[in-house]
Amino acid sequence: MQNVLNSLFLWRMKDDLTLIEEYKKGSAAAFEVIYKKYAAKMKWVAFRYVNDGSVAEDVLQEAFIKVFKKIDTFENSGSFEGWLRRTVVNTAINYYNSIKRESEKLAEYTVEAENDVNEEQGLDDNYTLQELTDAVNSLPEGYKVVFNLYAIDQYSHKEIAEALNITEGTSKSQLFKARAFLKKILQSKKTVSK
Amino acid sequence: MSNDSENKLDELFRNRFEEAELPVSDKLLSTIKQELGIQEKKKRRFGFWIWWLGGLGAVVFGAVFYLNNNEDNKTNFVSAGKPKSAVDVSSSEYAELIEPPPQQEQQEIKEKTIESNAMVEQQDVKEQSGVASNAVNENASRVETAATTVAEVSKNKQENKEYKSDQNTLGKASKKADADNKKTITANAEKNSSTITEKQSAEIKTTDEQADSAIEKIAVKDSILPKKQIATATQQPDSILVIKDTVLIAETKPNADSVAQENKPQEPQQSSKDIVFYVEGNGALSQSFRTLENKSSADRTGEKPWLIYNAEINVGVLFKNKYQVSVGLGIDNKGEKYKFSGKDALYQTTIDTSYSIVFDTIIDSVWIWDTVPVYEETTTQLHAAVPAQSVINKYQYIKVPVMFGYRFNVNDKFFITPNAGVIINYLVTAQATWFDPALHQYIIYDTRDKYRTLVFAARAKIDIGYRINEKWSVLLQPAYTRYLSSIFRKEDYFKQYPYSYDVNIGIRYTF
Repeated sequence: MQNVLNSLFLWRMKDDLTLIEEYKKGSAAAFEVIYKKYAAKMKWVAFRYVNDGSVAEDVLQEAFIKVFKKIDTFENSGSFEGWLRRTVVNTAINYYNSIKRESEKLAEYTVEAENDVNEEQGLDDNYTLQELTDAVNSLPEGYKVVFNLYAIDQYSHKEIAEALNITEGTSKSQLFKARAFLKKILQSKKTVSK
Repeated sequence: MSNDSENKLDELFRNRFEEAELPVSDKLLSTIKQELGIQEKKKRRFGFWIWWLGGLGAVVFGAVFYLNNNEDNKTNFVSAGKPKSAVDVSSSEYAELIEPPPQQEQQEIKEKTIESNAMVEQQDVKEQSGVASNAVNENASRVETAATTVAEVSKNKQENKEYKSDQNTLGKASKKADADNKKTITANAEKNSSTITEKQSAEIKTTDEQADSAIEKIAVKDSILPKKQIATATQQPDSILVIKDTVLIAETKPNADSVAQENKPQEPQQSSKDIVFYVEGNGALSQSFRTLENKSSADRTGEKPWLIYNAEINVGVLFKNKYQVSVGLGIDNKGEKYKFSGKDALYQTTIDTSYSIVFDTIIDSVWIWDTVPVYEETTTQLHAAVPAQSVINKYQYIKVPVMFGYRFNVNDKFFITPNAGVIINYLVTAQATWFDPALHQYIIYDTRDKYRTLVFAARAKIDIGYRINEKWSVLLQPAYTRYLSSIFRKEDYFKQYPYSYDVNIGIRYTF
């Protein structure tokens, strides 16, 4: 393997901190490397919340601008990707809050989800990305946002409550319902495929 | 829903979503850069140095143009000497010398004034008679100028009233004498017209001495200059006395040779010094190649020589216009571009290693050493598939060339100097760039720790020089450079020896 790396002259990849330092010194090339490294991934993060490609790009643009305008405040000890991801999520949440649907719509699925979940039937790992995406997208907006924040982006209930201006109890409740709904959807897909 | 199943569900989604991506539109990057005010540097194909070379070319062109058109550079009339005994009469030091002439001398001055006027009149007569004599005219003019200057000097001494009074008297007398003599001269003009030519030819021959004598007498009589000074001024051969701005100077008499000399541009003088110093700047575009050992060419396809640039400044010494030694400081860029063919599938390599033990034994009191192979070992290494990659390596050195040459002077304008020497190279930067197909972007790696910091190279060069003038020369310098040792560190598996062909353009200033 070392010989292969030698052949490619791959001795050391420039890490995010190095690229950020170069960006601070005015390197446009460093910014482009960072952008190209994270743009596609972060657009997906935004898309999970806004469910619209062009809106996701708007969120991405706003997040990148926020991050790089405050790049001097970035502490070198932390993870840049984590900071960028949080900013994207917060920006997406802000967008979500601006078009927040009526909370009554969340209640429509509550009873149905609870009744249809089969606790004994487990989940496997053979779901495609598209299936999982469709499952999440079929959630009511409130459930989807809470599920994304907690399960995928690993926010705490306290942070979710602050971001969405709800109580921690509501956050927990929404998460429970979201999981139940997702499991039902995924189990139904398995049943169909069989 | 139990905690375990909840966690499993979360984990299922998290694992699949974490690395997922969505393609981004091309315009987004430019929009963000615009918002952040990030200005993209224009790619300089050959960097700063192409501008350096352009500037060098402009400097060379400007120097050639300027030096060939500079008035100062044209050979002016070469005087046999600078004005000698130039004494500024206006200085107070000599003020005491300017004193009113005594009465007797005033009369003599008057006579000489008349004489000078006569010479002027004579000139008029000659013109009237249609006879032209440049020499006589000029000398008459000089006398006239001298007389005028004397009058001006006298005029300037206003504080000396007595002198002024005397001058006034002299002036009046002179005018009267002029008026009286004009008639005489005019009357004599016709009478003497037939003999003018003879007189003229005689005067042409001796006209210099006559004019000098007249001026000298005027100068002495009027005490513009001490006799001693005048004597010094007139001692130069082929010189004529001229009073300019109250200063008596000796100028070399213009002759045919002088005129020819004036019009002939001066040849740049070959330095007659044994040791001459110079400073030279040059830059070049060159093709960089390499030999790479321990690596099959099959793995490196489409390798292209790298068009690179370098620049340096040299200071040198020329002994007896032949032997040349120079030391310089510069930047040298090397690089190569190739496509690594990669490995499509899992592959393995084997390394065989033999181990031996040396036995020391004593047989009949004699030590015997024997080497016996103990065992052999085969090591197999597995390598994962590696996709084909385009790789660009670039490395930059600060170089100190030390060159020795021997100059052949083709003629006064051209010279050729073959050179050979050693270059000491100090590694400044090294990087490898390759395109990562997975990330869809170029990755740049700092590769300095793979290269030796100090490397030696040999260079052979020919200076083809053109002398613009004694000081400036332009040079065309084809060269071949080869690194004498591998630029990789000793412990590295690969050995690389770069070499290049350069064409340098330089400009040299000789002290």
